[in-house]
Amino acid sequence: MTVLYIITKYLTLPGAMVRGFWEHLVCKICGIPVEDNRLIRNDEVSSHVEHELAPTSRKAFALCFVPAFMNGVLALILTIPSICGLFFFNISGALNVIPNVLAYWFAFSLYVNSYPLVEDALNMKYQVYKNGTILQKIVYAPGFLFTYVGAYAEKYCITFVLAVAGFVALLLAM
Amino acid sequence: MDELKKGDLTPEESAGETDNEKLSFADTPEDSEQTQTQPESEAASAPEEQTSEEDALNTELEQIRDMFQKELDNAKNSDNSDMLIQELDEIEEEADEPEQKQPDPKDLCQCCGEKIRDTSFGDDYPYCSDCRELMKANPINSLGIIALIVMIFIAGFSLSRAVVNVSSWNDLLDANISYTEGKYVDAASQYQAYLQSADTSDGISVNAVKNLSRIYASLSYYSYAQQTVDSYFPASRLKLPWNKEFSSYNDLYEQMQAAQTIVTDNFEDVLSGVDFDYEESLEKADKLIEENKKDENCGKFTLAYLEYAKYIIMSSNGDSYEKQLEQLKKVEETDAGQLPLLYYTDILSVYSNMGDTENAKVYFDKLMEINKQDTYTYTYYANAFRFCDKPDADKMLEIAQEAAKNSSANTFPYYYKTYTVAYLLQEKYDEAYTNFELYLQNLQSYGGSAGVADYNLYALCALAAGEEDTYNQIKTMFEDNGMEISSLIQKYEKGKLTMTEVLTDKGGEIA
Repeated sequence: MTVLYIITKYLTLPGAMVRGFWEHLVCKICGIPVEDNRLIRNDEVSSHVEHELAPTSRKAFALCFVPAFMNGVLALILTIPSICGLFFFNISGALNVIPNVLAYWFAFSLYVNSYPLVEDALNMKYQVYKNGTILQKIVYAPGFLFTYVGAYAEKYCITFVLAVAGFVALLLAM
Repeated sequence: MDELKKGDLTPEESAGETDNEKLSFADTPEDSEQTQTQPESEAASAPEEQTSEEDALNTELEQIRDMFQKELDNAKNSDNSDMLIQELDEIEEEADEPEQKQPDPKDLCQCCGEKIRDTSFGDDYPYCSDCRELMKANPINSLGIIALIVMIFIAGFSLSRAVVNVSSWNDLLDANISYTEGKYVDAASQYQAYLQSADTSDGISVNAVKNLSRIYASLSYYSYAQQTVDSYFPASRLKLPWNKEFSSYNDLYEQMQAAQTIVTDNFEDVLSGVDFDYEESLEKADKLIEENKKDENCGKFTLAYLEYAKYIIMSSNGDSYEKQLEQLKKVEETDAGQLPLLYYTDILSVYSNMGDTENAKVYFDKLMEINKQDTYTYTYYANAFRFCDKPDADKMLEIAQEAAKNSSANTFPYYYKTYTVAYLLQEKYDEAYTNFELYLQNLQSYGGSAGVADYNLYALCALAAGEEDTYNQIKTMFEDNGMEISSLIQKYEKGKLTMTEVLTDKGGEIA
């Protein structure tokens, strides 16, 4: 599975690197030590920087959600023109096709690499459910579920499979 | 000294200090018992000449100890006792330091390997505080920054292209929606407008070209379909396997043209509406059908066109609807769905004139799949409820409303005529008159002209609504052209026929 995981990281290289960048940025802002700042490695931490676990619930939340949110926003900006240009209207011409293909690949790779590591998701749960109020626990619950499921989906390359399925669906809808 | 130290240290620390105590005070009298426990062989081997010196040294040490003990007791009794005791402790710790053991490698920082791990973050924390601070300052990998910059650049470029094209994309969106909804007349008009305004050198919507040519093909306008494809697609694109569909239009157009030519060449008199020999024409048609059946090079549409020509002959001769229908079914069978628009409307029309609402609905649905915006189709279908055993004006109104809903500025509002007939059947004559006037107005704006049956219906509306001036004008117009207003209307005027009887007459005098 790790081999597959690493292969998907190389196939979605731009998104993997940007995901690692956001994660490192959050670590810097939150004062979380980063042990290894390599973005792409041949192990199960690829596309994530190796960092210490976040010590507080807020930092843990930021570490899980900020990279996902930023990747999501950037992916959306890239998706709209690329999908319209490539699939919905199918605009011809190199000046349209090449940037749109690149934009779609970037968006694809960002979607695939949106989720945190399982350890970070579990740490967020631990931090929130250790000291949080009942309201915090209720508010965090869907977010935790989203993150936890997403983290496992990314670990087992399911996010990649889903992104490919989306691409095939768009091709069929053309 | 020994008592003081143990009282101030934790159990762990006091345990750790035991060796030091032994080193410092091993020769004191208090420790003489320990000395005595040493093996006798060792004691015997000590040089005798040193004994007196040792005794002197011990005595001196005892004196020093007593002196320090006195000073310590005094200090304890004074006001600054805490401070002094603390100082003593410190002195003792410093004295101990050089003699501490080397730290366990497990306690060393995993990063630098020199300093002791900072266990304030947990017993298993692997790094020292200095390395931890260095890790916080670990620089962000430049690859991530580069990837982000490239992405932002591409996103900006794609978005700017989209913004520049937003108006044409909006037109395309409307066209795509119309196409998806099956409103092919609107979609064709919108695609044409887009393609005419688009800058072809900058890239055009391939989907627009494909959808427009598909619309033309579905309406059997193969020449337009081919023209569209040729104008916007290079020949190399048409050779691609997934574009095979678009490369065959020319062939279909040529085959259709060939079939039409055979029919027009052989049945010119029938098609032009002049008098023709019915039997001779039918015989000729049968002969041509047989000949083409044997011909291996016969075009794929030729037989269907010839069968259809037979139907035209029967229809022009006024054969029964049953006979016409039988022939139309032959056309359908021969064509096998290649040119459905050639005969579907005729079959629907015949079923409607027969008042067969069930079968009319089957062909109405088929025609709706091809073109939801053909308002004539709605009118033909509505006529099935006009000519059936129990005319259903409500159903006719429902069909007219559906037609109005699916129509647009690109389609002719034929449904006004359906409204007119339905309102006449409901004896709502003012509404009927208003709707027929709307029909005529639209007819003029679309460049069409009303026929005899239309003017008869207009006259009927005017008569029923009490618009005598209009009715007299129409009557005069007929007389000026050497014609007479329909006898059905004259009978209605005289009260010999009811409105329903006039409208359900299948003679075709009233539209």
